[in-house]
Amino acid sequence: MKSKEMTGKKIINFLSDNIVTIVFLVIAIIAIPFSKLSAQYIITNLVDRFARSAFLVFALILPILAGMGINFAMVLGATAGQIGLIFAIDHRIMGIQGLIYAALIGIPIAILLGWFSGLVLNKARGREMVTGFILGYFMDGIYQFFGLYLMGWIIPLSTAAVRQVRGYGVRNTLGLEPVRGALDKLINIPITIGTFSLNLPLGTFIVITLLGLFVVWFRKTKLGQDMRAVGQDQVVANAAGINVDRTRILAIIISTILACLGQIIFLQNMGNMFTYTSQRQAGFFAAAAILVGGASVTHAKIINVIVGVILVHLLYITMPLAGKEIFASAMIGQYMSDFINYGIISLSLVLYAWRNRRNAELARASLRGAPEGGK
Amino acid sequence: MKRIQGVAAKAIVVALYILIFMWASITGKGYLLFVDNKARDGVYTFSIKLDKATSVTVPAGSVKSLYVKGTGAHHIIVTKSGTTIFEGTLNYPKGTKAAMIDGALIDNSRKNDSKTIVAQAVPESLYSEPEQQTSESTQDTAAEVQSANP
Repeated sequence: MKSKEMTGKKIINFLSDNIVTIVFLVIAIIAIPFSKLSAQYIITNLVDRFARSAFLVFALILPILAGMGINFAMVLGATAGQIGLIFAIDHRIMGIQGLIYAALIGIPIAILLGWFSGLVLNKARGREMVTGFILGYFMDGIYQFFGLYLMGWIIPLSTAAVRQVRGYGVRNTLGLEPVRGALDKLINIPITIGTFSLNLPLGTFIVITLLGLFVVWFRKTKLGQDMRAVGQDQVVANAAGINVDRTRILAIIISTILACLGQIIFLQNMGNMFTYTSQRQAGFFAAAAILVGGASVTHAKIINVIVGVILVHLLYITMPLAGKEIFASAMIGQYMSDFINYGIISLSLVLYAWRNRRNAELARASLRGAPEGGK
Repeated sequence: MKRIQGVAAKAIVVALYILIFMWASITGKGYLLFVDNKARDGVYTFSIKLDKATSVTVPAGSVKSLYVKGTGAHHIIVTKSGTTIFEGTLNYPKGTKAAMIDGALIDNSRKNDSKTIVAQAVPESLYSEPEQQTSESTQDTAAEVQSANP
């Protein structure tokens, strides 16, 4: 009898811990047959999209480890990456060298922005996510001022295709032809099995794998252990001699650098850049993906990134056509995938608050149940 | 001793950073090449493959812009309906930011049995299209960007 109860509890716990992933999986499974897309189409698109955005989502792991929740301030890192790309295109640096050039310009900016962001988030302890979100908008304004007025006026722009027609400011849309697919095509392996064919962007997958290994290694280092300790209890970590503020700032700096590199990889795959809006999508997409993958605002693993990116993109691929079949409008499908993504972020945050309250109530109940003065 | 080691490590990182930056900017420098396929009679759609880049199709009556790494000689293959009609060297002129080749230049090289096409230096704004904008005023551009905010 007791074992049955235990099994029931285990199932309930599993469902409540993975409810977001399960809901998403069910929606995706329903959408696939309605979309009438072939397996070949879905798989080739998934591989391409996974290579495009997995790196970006990895940027969220370390701040979660350090107890800072979803780093919505990763938009700052994405902005740094875009600044690097603008200079690479303006100076006409092509191919993989163009991406390295963009990264070398973007990384120092990302370090500076990450340090600033970390300082602010330390002041807003306990409200990191909403503060990071607003920081993204704050940076947006500065970036627009930088891109629309300073570039081409104070900071020289040498290429006509980058400059606005009025003579200064960066164009609203930039073609990234010189670096388009530079990493994806670096080692491109065509795979053909019968009628099924696929181009595997091995170069990008190697980079993503190396980042995964870095995260695994980093968690075992002294700094990684410190981050975990800070994430579990800041007071205890402080008492153990860990510089909590510095550790949190470092987590944000690393996350911002990874977001910078992730955005460069994302944009080289896309092939063009909406100069003033592309970076805004980075934070929301990455947050939705990691939460859908089963992470919470306190726990995240590499598997959450992989599962999340696949599921979110599966929905993006199938929903427009499924929407067309069900509602006779592809746009409704598109709106639905957006609505589901944002809904997932909300659901995860609500679940997190609910779990916290439930755990607190359970802890209180167990204290009440304990014999007086007993252990 | 530890302090010296720390400074040395930082110096190595900075030196490496500068070296990679210089390598990327020197070896990756790209130059603009316009392929004009509209300025002559009897135009036909052809594809161009430069060095190891993917082949680019230039439809009849259009202009395409490509990038080439470095000036000087580049390997070029021109195909029409899948058949190679020219294979040789493209000479990109030094000291210019943009150059152009057109169908007539390719046809001339074919007729003369020449294995070289010399691209002509042109201003980079020759074919560039103006950006789609409703207004050129600074305020309007800022307002456009602002209106895209969620």
